[in-house]
Amino acid sequence: MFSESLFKLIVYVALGWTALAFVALLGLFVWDWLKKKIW
Amino acid sequence: MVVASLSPAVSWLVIGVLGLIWVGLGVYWGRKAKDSEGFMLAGRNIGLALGSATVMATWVTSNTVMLAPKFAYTMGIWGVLAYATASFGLFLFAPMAIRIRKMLPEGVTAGDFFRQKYGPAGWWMFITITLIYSMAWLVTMAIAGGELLNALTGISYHWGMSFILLVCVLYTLFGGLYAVVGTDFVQSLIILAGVVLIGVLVLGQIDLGETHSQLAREQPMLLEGFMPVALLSFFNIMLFGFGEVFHNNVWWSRTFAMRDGVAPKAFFLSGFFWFPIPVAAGFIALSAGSLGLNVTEANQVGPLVAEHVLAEAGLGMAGGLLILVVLFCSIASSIDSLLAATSDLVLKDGWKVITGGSLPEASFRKWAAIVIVGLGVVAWSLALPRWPLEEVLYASGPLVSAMIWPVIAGVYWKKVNVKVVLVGILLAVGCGLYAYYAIAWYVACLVSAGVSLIVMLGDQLFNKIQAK
Repeated sequence: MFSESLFKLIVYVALGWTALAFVALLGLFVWDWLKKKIW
Repeated sequence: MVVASLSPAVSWLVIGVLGLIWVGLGVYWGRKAKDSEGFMLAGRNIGLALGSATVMATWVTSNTVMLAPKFAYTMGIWGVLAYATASFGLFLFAPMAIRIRKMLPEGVTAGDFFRQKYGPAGWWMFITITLIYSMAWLVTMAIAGGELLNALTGISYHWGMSFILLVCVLYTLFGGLYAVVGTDFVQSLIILAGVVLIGVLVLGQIDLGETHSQLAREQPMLLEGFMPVALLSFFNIMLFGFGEVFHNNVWWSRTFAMRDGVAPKAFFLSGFFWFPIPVAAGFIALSAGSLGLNVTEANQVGPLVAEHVLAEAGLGMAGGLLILVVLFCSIASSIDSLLAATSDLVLKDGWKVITGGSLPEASFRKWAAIVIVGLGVVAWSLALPRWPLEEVLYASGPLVSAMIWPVIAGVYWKKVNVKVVLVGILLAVGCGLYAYYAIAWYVACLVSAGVSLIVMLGDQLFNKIQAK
């Protein structure tokens, strides 16, 4: 059975990971833009 | 049923503005498409940021934000984790993209691969399977869009569904893959930020410890570490994802459209970005019981809980708007990709079959417009009576799973027996469909992929024995 702490960990990790994906995508865009490699 | 928290007038304003933005951006970016290659493949020059975003956004469908919560609600924690395995197809496609670009440096569609590797018969099998799947996916997205707008805003199903399709048809029509990829990037950011924001706002209102205690008391099955149905779903969804990503032109056209060396990184990153979304969007459904919500339609449990919790927090209208925008982006980012990739197949492969030659450059845009509008009209006509096409979409799981091994073999194996591969596809589809209807959906892809593998490995073994 999933314990309470494991349940909470899964939820927090998923939300944190999604937030990280947002930041990473923005960062990649800025990187590509600086390198003039967007398109 | 979700109780509409937004008035139709406000909702029309919001989706109208969003629609105008997408069409405007489509027209703006579409100016870069000077020829057919520009229109279909964005000049084969997409960078890592837009490449990763477009793959991720396409894979975030209305299913991701609706089915994932439903899986949590019906199968518990394993349910959302099972849904997250759909990202594995993106991870595995990353190394395949390297080989694909080497094999087909001038490739345009997945049809080029099937024709080259498996001849006309293989191409026909591919086109039949992919058109059934793609149209079912496209129509279910349109239906989901109409139903969600109706549930969230009170806008009638027919108007909502028609509007979403119209917007996507317009910007794909004006901008081709440039418009699709560009809007996908903006939509990706909105989806990711929206999912996090909704999750954080919900966490501010519910107590996860209490949710866990309530589940342990009332529905302990949802917290089970070993739940056979969920574990079977785990593998079934993973295989469905493999089959879908490996064969569908949505992913192949992006592979051809990215600049050299970008595709493998972009597919890996998109899988990494997509993986947590079903969990982040799905966990809130587990609170439905502790909130005492009456869930009559399990596939709307996610928006229902989110809207209820945000309304309780005094964010009724803002919360409703947030959910509306995220769902609108999720649906649009898949519809546009399907329109673009499927129209490419018709324009490139279909034209070759009908006329024996290539579509002349001078008339390309005219035919592209006819095909994109035509696909939109067909999807609209099928979505209008609200036929339960999700059944077709789920039943297409064994069809796409039958393509996993033929694609892997075609990409990696030195030698394949074409006849055996094609017989394997037919057998796999037959057995998979039988399993779907006679046993349950969560074994259909397992059976289909298993049969296909056995046939192909059997042939390899037979050849080795003969060689000795």
